Amino acid sequence: MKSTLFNMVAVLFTITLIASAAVGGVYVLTEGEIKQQEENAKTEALKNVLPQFDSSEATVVALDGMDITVNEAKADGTIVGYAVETRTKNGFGGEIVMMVGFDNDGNVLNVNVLKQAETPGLGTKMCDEDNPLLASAKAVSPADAAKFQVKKDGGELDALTAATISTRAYYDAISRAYRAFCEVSGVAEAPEVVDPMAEAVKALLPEAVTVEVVELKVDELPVKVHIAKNDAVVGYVVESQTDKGYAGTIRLAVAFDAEANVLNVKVAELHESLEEAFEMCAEENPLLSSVKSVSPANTEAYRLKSDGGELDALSGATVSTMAYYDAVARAYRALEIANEGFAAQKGGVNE
Amino acid sequence: MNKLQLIWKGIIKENPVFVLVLGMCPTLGTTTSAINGLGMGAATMAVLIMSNLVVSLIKNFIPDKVRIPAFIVVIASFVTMIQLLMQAYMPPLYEALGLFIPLIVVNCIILGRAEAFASKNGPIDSMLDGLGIGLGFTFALTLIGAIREILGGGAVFGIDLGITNYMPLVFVLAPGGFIVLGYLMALFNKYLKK
Repeated sequence: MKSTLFNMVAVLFTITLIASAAVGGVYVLTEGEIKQQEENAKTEALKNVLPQFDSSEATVVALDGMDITVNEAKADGTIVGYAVETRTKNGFGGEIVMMVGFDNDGNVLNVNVLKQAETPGLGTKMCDEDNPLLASAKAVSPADAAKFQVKKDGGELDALTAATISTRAYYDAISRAYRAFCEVSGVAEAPEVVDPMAEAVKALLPEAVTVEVVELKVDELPVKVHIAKNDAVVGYVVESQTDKGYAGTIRLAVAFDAEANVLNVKVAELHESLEEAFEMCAEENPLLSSVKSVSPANTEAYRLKSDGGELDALSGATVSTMAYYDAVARAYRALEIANEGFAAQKGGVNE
Repeated sequence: MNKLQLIWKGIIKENPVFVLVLGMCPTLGTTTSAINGLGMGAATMAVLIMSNLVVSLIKNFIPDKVRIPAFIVVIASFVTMIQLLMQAYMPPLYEALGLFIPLIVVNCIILGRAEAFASKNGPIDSMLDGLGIGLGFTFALTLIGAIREILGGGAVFGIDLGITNYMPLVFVLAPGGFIVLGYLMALFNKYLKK
């Protein structure tokens, strides 16, 4: 057929019309069945993690910016347990969604992984019927936040070999489920959530009479400067962050002395997928010693060695390394801005 | 060319994966197990047969300049229908194949056959061509999936062979996909293509 404008428009119009009608038709045909399947999958997941029940009621709790659904299951009017649909963003392959069953006292009965994209054969072992993670979660109560951690991190939980990140994410989701369970059931107090940033700031902040806090934005990202003062400034701790991480935001607490030299850095939040990147959390690591010896003010030297500067990198984790340095530099910028602000303020008072 | 030859050609002589080397993305992505490979192959085959049929039927009504958008609309509609049907009647497979189902739209095998075969031949031949190429794709994906599953996980079609712990995991991961595909391609071209 000839490619005249009319022909082309008419033919494409007809084809799209017929195609969308056909797709719409199939949609209508399958809509009910798909809903039914989703419904079945949910009930199936509840049945898997709970004892016999005949009715359930769902409550949605918002925790850490995620919606956690707590299903209260009843048999003959008495509560037999809670199934919590929980999630975590810390998985190796993105979000993990799990159904966790609790008895009335908050002990883990069973866990069913609903959605995950972990590495096949490694992280996916978390879905197996018998796996060390499930056994650990049943044995150790999530009520004890200190014990409910991977052995590597000082707790009592087993990990999957070669899948530490998936393991941490699994337990993270269960802890969150437990907190949601506490909130809805009221059976137990939810364990205090340790804010790693607050902990890090507390550890880094020097002894001082007063601490002033200044909140500002550097390159669009919020940064908080804690200024420890006696008469003069004793030191600073800056809550900094970067969005340049390999897998999202990295948050650091950076301690400076009164002359704005970097004293120490603590990592408060890290989602990097590579095990290599986690070295930046160690007490001593090449990144920390680099920022201690090279000031971010020295823009010539404050670059990776591969770019002609003097900063070391974590081998195999260049992106994470750059993000770390970016966050420290942002902290330094914040310090400069805060100090200018103070200088101006002081000037005002003196006049 | 008789009808049987038309099908056979798609499986061996013009096998889309081993000989034409088309559709590598789903090939590598979905073949972590034999059943996933089979499911993906079958879904692709269904789309391929239907789109070849429709394209060959409407080929005379389509102005030359807009034939690619027209073909893509046909293909995309079939993919969406297959996706809805799978979601409704085969949820486990739908879960396993995930993102790769909508990606059938951009599988170059399908547009390739629509353009190279269906737009020049009659409906029966086009369907048979779709069937042949589809079977060839399914055969290749299932074979790769089975080999990767055996080597990487010690199982085939989910049946545990009892050797799980001795198997190099790498075959289930992306590098293993490339290795298996490469060797199969070499063997296929040496022994079967002639």
